[in-house]
Amino acid sequence: MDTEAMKNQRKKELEEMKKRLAEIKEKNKNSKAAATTKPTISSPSTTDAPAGTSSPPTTGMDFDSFIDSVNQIVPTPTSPTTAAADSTTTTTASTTGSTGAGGYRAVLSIHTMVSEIDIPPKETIMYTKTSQTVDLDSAVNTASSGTNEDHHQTPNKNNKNKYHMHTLTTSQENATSTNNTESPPTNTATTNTSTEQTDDNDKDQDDVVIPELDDFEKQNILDSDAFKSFFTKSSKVIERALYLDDSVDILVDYTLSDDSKSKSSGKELKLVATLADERWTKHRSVTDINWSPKHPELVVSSYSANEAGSHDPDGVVLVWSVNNYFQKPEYVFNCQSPVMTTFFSKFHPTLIVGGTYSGQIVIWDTRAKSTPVQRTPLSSVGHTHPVYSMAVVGSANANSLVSISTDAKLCSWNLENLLQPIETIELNNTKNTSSSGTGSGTGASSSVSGAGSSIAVTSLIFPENELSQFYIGTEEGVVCQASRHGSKIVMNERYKGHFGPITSVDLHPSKGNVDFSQYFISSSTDWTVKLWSTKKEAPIYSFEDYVDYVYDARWSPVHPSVFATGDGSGLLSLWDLNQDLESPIFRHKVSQRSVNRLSWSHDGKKLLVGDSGGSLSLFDSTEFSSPTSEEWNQFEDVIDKMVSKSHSQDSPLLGSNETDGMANLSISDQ
Amino acid sequence: MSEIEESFKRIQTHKGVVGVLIINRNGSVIKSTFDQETSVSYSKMVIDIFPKADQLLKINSDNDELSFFRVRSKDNDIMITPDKDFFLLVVNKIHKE
Repeated sequence: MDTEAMKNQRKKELEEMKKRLAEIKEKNKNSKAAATTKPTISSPSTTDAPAGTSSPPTTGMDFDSFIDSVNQIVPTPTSPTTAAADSTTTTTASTTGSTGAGGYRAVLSIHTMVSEIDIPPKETIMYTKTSQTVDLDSAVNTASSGTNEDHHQTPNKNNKNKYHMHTLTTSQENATSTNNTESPPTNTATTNTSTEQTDDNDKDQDDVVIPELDDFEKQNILDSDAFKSFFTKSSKVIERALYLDDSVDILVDYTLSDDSKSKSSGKELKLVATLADERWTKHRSVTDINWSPKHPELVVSSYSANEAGSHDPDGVVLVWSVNNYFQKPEYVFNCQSPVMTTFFSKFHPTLIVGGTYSGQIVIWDTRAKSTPVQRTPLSSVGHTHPVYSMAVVGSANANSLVSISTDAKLCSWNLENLLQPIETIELNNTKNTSSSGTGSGTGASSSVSGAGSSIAVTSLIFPENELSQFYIGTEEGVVCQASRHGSKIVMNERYKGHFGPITSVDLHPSKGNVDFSQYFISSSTDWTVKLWSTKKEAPIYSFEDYVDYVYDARWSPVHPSVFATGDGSGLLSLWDLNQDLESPIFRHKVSQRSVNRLSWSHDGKKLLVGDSGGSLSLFDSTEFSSPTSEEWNQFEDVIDKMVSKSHSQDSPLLGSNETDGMANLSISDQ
Repeated sequence: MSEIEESFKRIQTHKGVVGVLIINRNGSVIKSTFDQETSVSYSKMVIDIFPKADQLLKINSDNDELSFFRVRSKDNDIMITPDKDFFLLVVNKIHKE
């Protein structure tokens, strides 16, 4: 409605204006030549903008009159205004791509406005103009009201930009809605470009010809190596994302509903998943589990030979990711002999070390194939008995692999070169004496307590940051603390108390306000787990609530008083010594067969349990992963009590030194 | 080959997965669980949207490469892993317990 009125008004004004123009034309025809320069610069530029347009010839006629008018008024301050306004509006008029008639009308109206309103230019007005150019009519109005010659080029440009953007959006709208309508023939340059863009978009949307492949080509691609490597990589990514979605809802909204999620009151471990593989873990039993030091979700596990017999190699080591419970291991590694122990090398996160039943030590690389990248020779240079325990000691720059076997040999290896051990040391049972490598051979002695006999080591453990001092568990049921001095090994302490072979030794991780690092637990086939202090030869406490061999006992890495055990009856037991010394606080039947190995994640929030059925059971132990500082003090009290008790009473179960010796003797007598 | 088939099947049978599509850089369908028409319309969109997503990522770091691309609504989820020559697309329906 407004525009109608304005148009009418403008028509009137236009007529007036025409008259005046004619007058001025006649008066000042002669001053043309002097002032042509600037206007001609500006006017071609404006005509450039709608270059090659179909703008009606009337516009051309107008230009003549513009130039004329400009020329004559150049000396006066109003003249630039006219020129600028004229040219810009021409641009706007022509670029807006309205119908020819509309454009024409607009152009004319400008003249009226310009001549009528004589406002000195203001800088700010330029912005108003540019911002409003989208709307044709208002643009014309404001354009006419301001700008001078200095700003002539800039607003012009702004105009164009604005329009460009505008047309872009419209073109996209067009594209998304329907096919763009045929642009009217009167359209000017900018609208032309807009249609071009629309065409582009149309192409993207509809006209892109997607080449179709026939079956043969498809098969070719599917068989290509490039495709295989692509698919192996990206299918893993996708699966991770899929499985992650199952466990974590990234769009969870806690402001909604509060009904679900009632927390169970009793503290317990929750079975989260079972990791097993039809081909690689069936009929095998888990021999070892260890977490990656670099990737908290990666775990490596080793397996015994396939009981049912298969064409696959005997030695199997699998790497699992526990974040997304794949039904498939991330990596599969093989070797010829069953692997008894395996772990990620502390300082080489891609290397996995395995100790085998044959005595060979092998190294796999996650960057390489499933076969070992390195292996030790199968000769007397290395181990000739099963390697049940190994450790990487040292620092990132100087480290070595220490392995120990039931042949009573301790070897140090350079991880870069497994062809020959750095050193070999015979372990000898004699207290405070030692013998160096070459002498006694592998003499497996049947007598246990006889001096000079060699030790069959089943487990080896180095305290953190310790290079020479270590603890070993033996087949004889004795835990020893020993130190290496050059080529000699000195047995410092012998902890006697178990009546059967030691199956595991674990030092207290002790990362709290009280230092418990002198305490360790051991498990044995004598149906007990015992707690020791490194300063006492007799156990502090014996946990007897078992009816089968205990295969493994591991401290929680974060909770001072919690440890987990696995036994031959397939039970996982969780002890919290602050709560109960007589029986475990939580028990779960993991397997019909025995539980062989346990491993806590580094943050203590997950516990993996491996059984002789080849399955790894993943438990959520988050409830035991954030002990209060009181727990530490409480545990100190508990231990103090236990220590004083074990002093006062000579329980045959806990064993004083003497009864212990007797027991050992009786075993050796058999 | 069989391993690829296996992975493909495993993804396809994962709870919530509606379909899996593999296309090459030109948009040609290599392997799909959708019908031809749906596959092609997905393919066109992926081809169209990928360069933009890649550019989006490059605003911040020039030599970075788009490696995983995900569009998610409350109930629907489309994941794309682009590679030099191929795209793997998985359409997933979020299941609620």
